[in-house]
Amino acid sequence: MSIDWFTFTAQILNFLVLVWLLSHFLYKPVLNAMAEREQQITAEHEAATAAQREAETELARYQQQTEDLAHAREELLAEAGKEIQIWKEQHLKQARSDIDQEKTEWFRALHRERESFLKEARLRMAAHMHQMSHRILKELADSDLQQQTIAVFMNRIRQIDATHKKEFLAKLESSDPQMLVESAFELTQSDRKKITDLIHDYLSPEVGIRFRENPELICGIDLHLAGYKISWNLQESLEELEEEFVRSLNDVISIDPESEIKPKE
Amino acid sequence: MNMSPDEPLWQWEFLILNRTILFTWLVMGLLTCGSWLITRRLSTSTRLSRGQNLLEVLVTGLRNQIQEVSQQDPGPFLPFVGTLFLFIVVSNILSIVPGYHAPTSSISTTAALATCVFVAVPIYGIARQGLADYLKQYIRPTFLMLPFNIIGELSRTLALAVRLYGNIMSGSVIGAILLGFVPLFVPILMQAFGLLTGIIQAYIFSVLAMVYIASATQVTHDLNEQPEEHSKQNT
Repeated sequence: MSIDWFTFTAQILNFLVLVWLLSHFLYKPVLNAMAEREQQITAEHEAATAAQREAETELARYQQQTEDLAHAREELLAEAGKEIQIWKEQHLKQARSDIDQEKTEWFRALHRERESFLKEARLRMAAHMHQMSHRILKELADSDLQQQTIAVFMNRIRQIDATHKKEFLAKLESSDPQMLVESAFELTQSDRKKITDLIHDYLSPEVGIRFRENPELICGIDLHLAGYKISWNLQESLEELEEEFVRSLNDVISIDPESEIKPKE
Repeated sequence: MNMSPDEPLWQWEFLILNRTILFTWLVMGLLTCGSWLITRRLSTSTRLSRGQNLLEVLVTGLRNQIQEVSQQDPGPFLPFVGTLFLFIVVSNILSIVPGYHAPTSSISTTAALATCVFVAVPIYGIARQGLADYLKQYIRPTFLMLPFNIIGELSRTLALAVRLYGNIMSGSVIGAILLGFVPLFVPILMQAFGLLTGIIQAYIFSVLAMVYIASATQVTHDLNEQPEEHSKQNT
C-alpha cells in the first residue's frame, strides 16, 4: 500500500474537473428545471386560486341572483294569486247575479204560465161545471136550470135581513131609483114580471127595473143598485172552486207565487 | 499477486497512464455523458422522461441528505459532496463488470479524495465564517487544544482515505482469493456483497465529508446558540 503521487495529483485534478462537469451538466440544469417547474406550478396554483376565487365570487353572485329571482317569483305568484282571487270573486259575484236574474226571470215566466194556466183551467172548469150543473139540475128537477136559478135568486131577495134591507132602501132614496137586473140567459116576460113584482113587493114599489143579458155571469142573475148587489150565479162558486184549485195546485208544486218569484239575497 | 491498479500501463517521461486514471476517466465520462444526454432535453412541465426523473430524484435526495446533515442551505455543498458520492458510488458499482478495477480500490484515489475534503473544509469554513473566526475554532476552548485539533483534522482525513480504500480493496482481494478456492457461485455472492459495501462506503464517505464541512461552518454559530438552546430545553 503506497501512494503514487502522480496518480494522487491526477485524481485530485480529475475530481475537480468532475465537480465542474457535473455542476455544469447535472446540478445546474436539473436544479434550474426544478425551480422553473416549481415557479410554473406556483403560477398555475395562483392562477387556479384566483380562478377559484373568481368562480366562488361568480357562484355567490349567481346564488344571489337565484335568490332574487326566487323572491321575485314568489312576489309575482302572490300578486297573481291575489289578482286571480279578485277576478274569481268578481266573476263569481257576476255569475251569481246572472243566475239570480235568470232565476227571477224564470220564476216570473213560470208565474205567468201558471196564471195563464189557471185562467184557462178556471174557464174550462166553469164551463164544465155549468154544463154539468145544467145537466144535473135538468135531470133532478122538472123545471129547467133557468127557472131554478130564478127561484134561488128570488129566494135570496126574500132572505135579505132588515139591516141590509134598510141600507138598500137608503141607497135607493139617495140615488137614481133605477135597478139593473143582469142574467146569463134571456128572461121571459113572465119571469121578468115575477121578479119585478117581488122587488116591488118586498123592497120598494117605486123603483124602476131594467133587464140586461150578460153571458159572463154563467147561469145566474144579479141585481145592481148604486154599488149594492144581490146575486146568485155560478161565478161565485167557480171563484171558490178556483181558490181551492189554486191552493191545491200550490200544494202540489210547492210554489208560493209571492215568495218564489223574488230572488234570494 | 499484485492487486494495485496504480501500475503503469503506459508511461512517457513523468506522465503515467494506469488503470486507476483510466477507469476514473471512464467513470467521469459515464457521469458527464449520461448527465449531458439527459439534461440537454429537460422538461419544465410535469411530464418527465425516465432519465430526468432519475436525475431529479437523485439530486433531490442529495439535497435532502445534505440539508439533514448540515441543517443549512444545501446549495453551496451540493456540487462537492454530490460529486463525491456519485463518483464513489459509480466507481464501486462498476466493479461487477469483469476486467474493471474500481479507482476507489487505489489508495492514491482515496487519499486524493480525502485530501480534497481536507482542503474543502477550511475553504467552506473560511467562506462562511471568515479567516479569523475559522482559525479561532482550533484554539477553542483553549489554546492547548490547537495541536489536538490539527491532529484530529489530519487523522480524520487519513481515516477517510484508509476506510474507503480498505473496504473496497478488501472486497476485491477477498473476491480474487475466493475465486482461487471456490470458483463457482461464491465469488458472485461476494461481488453482490461488494456492491452493497461500495454503496454504503460511498454514503459514509459523503456524509462524513458533509459532517466535517458542516462542523467547520457551524462552530461559531453553535457556540453562540448553545446557551439559548439549553435554556429552552430547561424550560
